[in-house]
Amino acid sequence: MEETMRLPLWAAGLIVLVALGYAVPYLLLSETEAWSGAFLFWIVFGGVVWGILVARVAFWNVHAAPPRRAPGPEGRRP
Amino acid sequence: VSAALVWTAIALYAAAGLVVVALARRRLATGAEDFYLAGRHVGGLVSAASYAATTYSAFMMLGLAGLTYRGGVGALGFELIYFAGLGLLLLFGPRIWLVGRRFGFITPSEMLGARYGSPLLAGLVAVLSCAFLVPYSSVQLLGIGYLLSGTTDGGISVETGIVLGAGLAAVWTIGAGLRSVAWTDALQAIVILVTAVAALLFIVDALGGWGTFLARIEAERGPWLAQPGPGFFSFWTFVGLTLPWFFFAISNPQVSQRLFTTEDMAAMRTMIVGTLSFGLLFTVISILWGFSALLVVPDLANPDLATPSLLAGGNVPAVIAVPLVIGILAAAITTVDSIALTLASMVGRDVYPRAEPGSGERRELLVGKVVILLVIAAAAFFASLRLDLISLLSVASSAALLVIVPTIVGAFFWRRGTAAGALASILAGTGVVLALQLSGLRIAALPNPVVSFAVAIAVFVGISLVTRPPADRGAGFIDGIRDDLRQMRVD
Repeated sequence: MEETMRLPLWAAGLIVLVALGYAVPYLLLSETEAWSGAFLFWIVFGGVVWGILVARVAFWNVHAAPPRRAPGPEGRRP
Repeated sequence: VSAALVWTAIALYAAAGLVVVALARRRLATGAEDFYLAGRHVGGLVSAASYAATTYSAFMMLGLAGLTYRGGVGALGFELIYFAGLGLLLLFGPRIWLVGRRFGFITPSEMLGARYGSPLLAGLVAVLSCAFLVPYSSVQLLGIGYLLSGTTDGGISVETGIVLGAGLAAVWTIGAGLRSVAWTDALQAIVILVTAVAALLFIVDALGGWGTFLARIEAERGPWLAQPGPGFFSFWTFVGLTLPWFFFAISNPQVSQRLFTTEDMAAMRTMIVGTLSFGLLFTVISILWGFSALLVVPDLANPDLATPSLLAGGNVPAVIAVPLVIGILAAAITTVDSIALTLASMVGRDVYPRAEPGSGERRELLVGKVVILLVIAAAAFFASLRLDLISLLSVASSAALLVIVPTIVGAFFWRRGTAAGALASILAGTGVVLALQLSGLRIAALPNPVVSFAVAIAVFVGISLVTRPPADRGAGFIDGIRDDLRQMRVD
């Protein structure tokens, strides 16, 4: 919303994917009365979402997290 | 299925749960942080199983299977849009975790109150959460009642089921707070996954194997494989159902509070990957289970009874059916106990101290434990009345909690957000939710959650822009954690 944040690529991809998740079954697969229609589409959708999110958290540097601070007298509240 | 057999299985499950609770109690230290957040020391695997068990409730094998029975493959799309919403954890998980450690927050409402400099906001979010999550818990308990009564052909009454569920939920919660809740959650996640897979494999085999099962659905229930299918999932119904659920991970305090609890970021990563993996697998199983019900027990008047009917009629042998019943029962209990614990922490910390200033942590914790019992008792009482109002509020709960989302997003991403904007947005949004729900009005055919969400966003932005932001402009939530986020390579 401000200069603090550009939409990361994975999030942009996720938004596009979710939009497709609404559009494709209703616009393209509404006549396909088979497992190879909306069912297969959404299964692939779920798999791709899983892949994007897992790949992104794999990139986290989890050991860089700040050590826990003892709750001191100051700074308990922002 | 005979009631005696189900009672035996319940006794075994309760005994296992009690052992887990007793073990959890041995670790319990004093203080609110330990009771509500397990001292912020929950490891990755327990976090994953517990988060998955809390978010994937009894709804999956009961409601989602019923939704598949009624509306077909749209149920899969609905659940997977929610699944994609778990991506919000990648943005909000590390942020909520960091500010939780830095400022010692225990409840999501307390966090919002501190961010906007408004204890009133904290109280409002806490009260609103109670108003909508108690009915939601009632529906879970009622689900237990119907499940036990349905599968035993009335051998166990609905009321007995409600009392049983409430009693176990109370013990799981009071026992050792989040420790006992999380550990019994983990037990439940394993039970439900194993039993659901076994039940599905059995029923598909009984139908003649996967080839026959898939071919029969296509031949006999073709419309169920297309959208909008047999008619239930019109486009706007689908949007109205999915929108609130997409934001569930941040709007519902019983899951967002879990983001305070992991022992480190490695545990949070394990929690996210584990929940995603469990969720995808369990979603597909529940959907296929719903499809199998279409073949085995066709023409049910009430699709919500698909699973109890499937289990009752001798379609599945007791050795498979009974453990699955226990798994579903446990799933409902884990949702109720997590909600009770979270609501207790919110009332104990954000509402009660306002009524009784200077009350101290011991008192706060005692009040919290009383609230746990009150929440569960109220949920059981409302469930036994089977009031229409309860299901109405429960349906409205996801839409009502959705109106808090602009305030939560603003807390971390918009310096200009103000307490007045947040308060007005939540009040206006809730007002719209209730007005639309009670009057049955529709605005230009739009689903109600779309309207109330739009109102909440507009009011939050509009009122924030004409009021004064907190003096630090949210520095502790935005600039204060930026370096940490960068080092952790989190977006």
